[in-house]
Amino acid sequence: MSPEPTAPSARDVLAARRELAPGGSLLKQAETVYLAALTVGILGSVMLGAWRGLGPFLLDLSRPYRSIAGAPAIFLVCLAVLRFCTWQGFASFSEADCAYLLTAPVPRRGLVWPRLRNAGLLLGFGGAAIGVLASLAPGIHSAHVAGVAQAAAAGLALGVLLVAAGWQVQRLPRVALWVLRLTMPALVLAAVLVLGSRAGGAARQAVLWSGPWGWGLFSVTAGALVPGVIGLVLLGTAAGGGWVSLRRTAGSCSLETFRARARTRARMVAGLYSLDARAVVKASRGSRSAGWQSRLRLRVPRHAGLVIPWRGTLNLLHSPVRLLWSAALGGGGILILAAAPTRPGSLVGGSLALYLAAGSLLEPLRLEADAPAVAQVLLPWRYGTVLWLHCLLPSAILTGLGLVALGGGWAAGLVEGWVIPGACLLLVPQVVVMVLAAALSARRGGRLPTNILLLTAGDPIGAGGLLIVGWAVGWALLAIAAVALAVYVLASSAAVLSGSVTVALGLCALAVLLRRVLVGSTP
Amino acid sequence: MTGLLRTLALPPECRSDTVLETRGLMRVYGPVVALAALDLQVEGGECVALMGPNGSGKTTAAALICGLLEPTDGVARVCGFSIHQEPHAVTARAHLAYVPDTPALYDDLTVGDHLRLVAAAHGVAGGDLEERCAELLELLGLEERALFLPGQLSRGMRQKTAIACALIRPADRRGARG
Repeated sequence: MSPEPTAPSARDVLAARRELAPGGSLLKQAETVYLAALTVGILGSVMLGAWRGLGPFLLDLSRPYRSIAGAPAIFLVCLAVLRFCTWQGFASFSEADCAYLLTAPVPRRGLVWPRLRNAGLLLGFGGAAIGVLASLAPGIHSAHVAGVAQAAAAGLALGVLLVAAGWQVQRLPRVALWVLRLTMPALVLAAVLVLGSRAGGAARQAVLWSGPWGWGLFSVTAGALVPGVIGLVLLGTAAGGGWVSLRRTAGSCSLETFRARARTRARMVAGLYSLDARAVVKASRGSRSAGWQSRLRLRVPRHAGLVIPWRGTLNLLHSPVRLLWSAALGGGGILILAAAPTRPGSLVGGSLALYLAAGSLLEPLRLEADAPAVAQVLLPWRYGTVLWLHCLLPSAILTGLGLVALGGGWAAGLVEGWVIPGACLLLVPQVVVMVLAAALSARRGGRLPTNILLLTAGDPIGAGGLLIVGWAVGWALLAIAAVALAVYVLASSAAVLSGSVTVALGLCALAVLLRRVLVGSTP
Repeated sequence: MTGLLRTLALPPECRSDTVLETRGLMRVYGPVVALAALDLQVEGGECVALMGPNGSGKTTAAALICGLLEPTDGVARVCGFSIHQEPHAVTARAHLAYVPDTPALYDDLTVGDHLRLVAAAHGVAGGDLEERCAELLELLGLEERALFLPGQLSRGMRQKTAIACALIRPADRRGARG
């Protein structure tokens, strides 16, 4: 005979879970709070001291980039939060919670709402604190009382609004899909906001009125009180509406959504514990709603050597968004290198963008490295040769993109005419060096090797961190340094043609060396 | 069938004699139709097994019926209550138990605590709860593992723990027939 059931409430269920968990007693919770307060106190005082010493210097250093601060920065934070909610979100449960709590006969709203409420309060008060700090920072805002109060209120409202918007993204798969689709246009909009902020005057006013990211940033001075108040009222109304919708829709999220996110988090945590960056990335990708996928088919090549590029093309056709990202990064990188070849910032930025584009196009090689046995069973070549063949398509794509970028840059007047011949001559070797370095980095997978870990664990002088960083970005640093140096030497050379030939030969020699290392790879 | 689906037999608040009913239940993943228009009716006391070749949608059907997946189309009702629509789903969930082939267990709860938690979540309190837990653990050969954490259990024992969690839920057999 089973005991007679009595209808439990969500509060009872959560209380039962807390009671049964080893860390659930009041004393344990108080201990956790005490430790957290202690840590925040110590770290806070250290950071405050560091800020007093370095703050003015850092603020001075950031002066040229101030136009990004304000509305564009808030817009980018909003975008990042919404992207986060496409695969995780503010109300998350473990897999076991999904199996036992969310399947219990209690209203789901009662289980979800406490998490959403806490997230809203945390982000709201966190936003208020950031607003106060930003308004007090020297040179950013005038530190009068009304300004500080406005910043605090705006931060609070924005935090609540973010949680409300994030929840809608989390609970509605269609909305999440649109967030993913609109990310690239949103980045373009962010660039427009930067330009508008920099222009000042009416353009800056338009940026501030363009959305919640600007409503709280109006200056509240005696002469311009009205826009500030209107902005705050708008922001407050949006946040209030968001809070109401949060309450009303707290129970209307499917168990499927919670389970998918729980699985993702479990995989990501497992990846982090095993120091496997690739596993973390794959877990976050796997959780997203299926985006648009091309159904284009490609004829199988007759020449065996083209099989791997054909497989790479299929991969790109299945995820055209990655191709777009790579095109933007690769074309942009080459354009930056050609447009300002003597400025250190553009040399490093352009080379880095080119490296990232190469890395992004090498996804099929990463898949090969994830399961090296597959290539050994299915393909007739040695493992190293397979990896080398995977580099052909990205090199061809980036070269083509580079030519288009150089031509476009020259037509738009961004690239000077005398740079074009040297840049074209240098294009192939610099692209190949980047692709090979990215391939050498990608072939290792994401997991930190045990021998590196052992070395760092026994390191008495604290250089273990450097060793890990070196392992992670060593190939990238080599390629970026080589390409940046080559472009710089070419740009500063008096005889452009002979200089470009010399530099191209140097890069070719490096490419041959990198290829030899890659072809010698074993699974 | 990868999971054991247990619909409890005709509880008093059942709106009809039908314990489980699906109408046009469908699930689509992009271009793949995982389950196409499943119509199913299970009366109180009936025992039904879903059988079919690989990829025919058995697991998807079970997950849809239990509310683990959202249907692309169609409806699944348990005792007349839709499992996918709050607040009706609360009543539907009270009469369902699902044991997947890879059960999810709390890392920090012992086998016994799992049973107590599920009992509390289903409103099963009272003096004989501990007796019922002990009875179930003995029935499934878990009595010596009652204080074990999931990490200390074999796969089979974890599965048995999930079965015990399914059985600890209140089952009203007054309406059982057949």
